[in-house]
Amino acid sequence: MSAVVVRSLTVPLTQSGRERNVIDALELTVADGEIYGLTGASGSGKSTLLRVLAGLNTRWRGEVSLLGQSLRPGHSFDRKLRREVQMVFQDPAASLNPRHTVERVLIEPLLIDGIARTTAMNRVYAALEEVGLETNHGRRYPHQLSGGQRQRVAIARALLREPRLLLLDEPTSALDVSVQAGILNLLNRLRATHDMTLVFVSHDIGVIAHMCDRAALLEDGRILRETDRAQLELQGT
Amino acid sequence: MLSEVLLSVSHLSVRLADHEHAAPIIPDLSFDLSSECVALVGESGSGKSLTARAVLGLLSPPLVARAAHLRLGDVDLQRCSATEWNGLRGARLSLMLQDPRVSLNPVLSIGRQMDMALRVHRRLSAAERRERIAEMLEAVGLTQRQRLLKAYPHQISGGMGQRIVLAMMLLNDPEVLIADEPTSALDADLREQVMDLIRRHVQTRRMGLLLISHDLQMVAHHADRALVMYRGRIVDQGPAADLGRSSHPYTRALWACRPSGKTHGTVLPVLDAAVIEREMRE
Repeated sequence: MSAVVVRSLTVPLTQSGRERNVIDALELTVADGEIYGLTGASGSGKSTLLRVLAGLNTRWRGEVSLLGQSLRPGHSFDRKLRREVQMVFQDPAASLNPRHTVERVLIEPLLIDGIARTTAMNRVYAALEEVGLETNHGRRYPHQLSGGQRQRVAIARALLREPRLLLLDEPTSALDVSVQAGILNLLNRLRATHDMTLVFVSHDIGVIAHMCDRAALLEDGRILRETDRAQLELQGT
Repeated sequence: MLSEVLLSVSHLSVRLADHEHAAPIIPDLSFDLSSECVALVGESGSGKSLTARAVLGLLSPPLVARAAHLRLGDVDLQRCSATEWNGLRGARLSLMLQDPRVSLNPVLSIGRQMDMALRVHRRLSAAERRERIAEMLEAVGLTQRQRLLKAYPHQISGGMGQRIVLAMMLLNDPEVLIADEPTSALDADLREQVMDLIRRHVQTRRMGLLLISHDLQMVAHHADRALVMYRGRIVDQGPAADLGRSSHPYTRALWACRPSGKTHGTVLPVLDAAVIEREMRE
């Protein structure tokens, strides 16, 4: 089964009264369990595509199906898909509520899912450990963590819902290369231990070449070319 | 060929004023800059930007800098008054930051702020200033100048913004340009273009460039010399092109942790402070 199937996807954007297509008749298939990279210059449409896949942008035309379930434009995800598709954003400082402790950030989605507080708490501690943080990090606020630690929290939050599709939008672009290495290692480890498909957006070809099984280069809302592992091997040195 | 020293930093230390007994953030740092590109590299928090700010006299309390000497040509920077600093910054010593949207004034048109940068430091007629601005914009490869001069910072792209900042910094022919992560906010393709542009101008004007970056591969490609900083100290230095062959454990780790097609399927080396410090002592 394919985790992501996209057929003639078009995403219009109205800017100063004029409409143009940020994504233009795009075709994409991501196999189950694959790490698929999306790269391209700013404005090429990679983040827009990811936002459609995350259900954050519902204004599109064409066909999109995720994990075997067809999406309808204009409709938000149902409960099941909202749990199974998770996203990690570029700037962890902006994606974590500054007034909530890490514990609260992590436990809230579980409580909403109806999981009992003690069970949920145990899962939060397990997730913190899994992403390389300690229990006491749970009682801190996002500003008391480093950039790399904050991104680990964002990854833990996604993991806690046990996603089958993890969308990553420039997850290491705001980090130092040395911190980036730790996050990339973590993502690779998680992919091996969890049954997940990853769609990885980055403008850094080195990161894409290190992480992905296949990748697409986007330009003007279309896939300019798709590269396989053998071709990726030669890139980003 | 070694030319005259443009900027000389000797035994610079930076500490928190109210923590007289605490360890300084930068204990003791010295380097000279001639008409060349010297890069300060290291992770976030290693003290690269702090060094730049200390050199520019831009540290604000409670941070204080002290040095045996801090010289720009014949000027003793430590003895400069606020007025003298205003005459130096943007004229003889310029700073270029990471994000043009932060370094440009959002409520002034590009033309207006470029004009101000000239007017503050030089006595030129309006016509001469217009000509100088046009000349600089052309030098950094910007066309459609009339439209650009009327535009506001939010209306331009990041790459264009960084070209404008560079043009603005070069308006007054500075001797030294300090560029703090000038290309980190740009796309990969643009990074190379903007970096090439900076280097070309620095070379033709025989300026000194202090380049601050965490990207070792970029530095190896563009800089002449590299100073590797770790916890406020220069722990390794040498020709930038040799960064990849350094024997220093910290430099080696920083170089190797960069992902590429060849590292696929491997665990990237992660900087472990304890291991590095042990190796550094040995």
